[in-house]
Amino acid sequence: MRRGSGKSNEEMWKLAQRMNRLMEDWMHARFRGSGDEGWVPAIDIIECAAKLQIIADLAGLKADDVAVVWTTKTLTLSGTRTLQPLDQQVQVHQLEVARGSFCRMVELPAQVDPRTAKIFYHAGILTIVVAKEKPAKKIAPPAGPTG
Amino acid sequence: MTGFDKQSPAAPPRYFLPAVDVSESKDELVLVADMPGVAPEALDVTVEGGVLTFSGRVAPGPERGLETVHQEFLKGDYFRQFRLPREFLADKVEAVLKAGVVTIRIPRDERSKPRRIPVRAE
Repeated sequence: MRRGSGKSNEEMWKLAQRMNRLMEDWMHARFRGSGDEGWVPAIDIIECAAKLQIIADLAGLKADDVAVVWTTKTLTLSGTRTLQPLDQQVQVHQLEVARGSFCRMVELPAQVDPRTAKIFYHAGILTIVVAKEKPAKKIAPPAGPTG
Repeated sequence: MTGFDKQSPAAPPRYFLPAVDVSESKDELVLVADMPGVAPEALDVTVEGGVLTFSGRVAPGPERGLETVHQEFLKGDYFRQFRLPREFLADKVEAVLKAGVVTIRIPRDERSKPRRIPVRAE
């Protein structure tokens, strides 16, 4: 049986993820200034044999502020980061910190079972650990009568 | 405010520049910096020679046996410096770290606050 190159598939997947990220950045940049000051949180995906770990840079939020939506192959994080409103008497020198609403969907490198997801939030980082879906076991057909 | 942001030759060889908001009211100067992944014990805030420095260390990446398949959130230490204007009290700096965001408040010197001069009628 001929097998596809795992390395090549992985590179293609990484390239696709990079393209998605570029598109999202472009979309947010495109519509910035139209009233929606959206931003794009950075996300890491770490994989081991049985699990995926998704790490998102969500400083200044609470775990309850983040909506997590799954499919077996994608994860979407969304929410709004609100900073203390500035008094009119305040003189602003620079504003670099991301604020406003965000919505980020990532394609996962493996199918997962969302029911196993555990979510932690610490020091501005949201960490989600989820089990990969186990492949269905092949059931061998019953042996036919011999002889 | 000109010449506010300062980069020192004392900076570590490699670091990330955290995003910082700077605002000023009649009472204080406030800096808000995003430093996700930094624990309170790993955050340093110092003032020396009128220069405010804040730096934070972030724990290294995934443990052995795990493979990073998609990375955008680069790990490393944060470092940033600002030269404080003279009208703020460098010895009264307060810093609070919450949810990966450090808020630094520096009160304004009372003597630098605008004051009305009473006019005497003669």
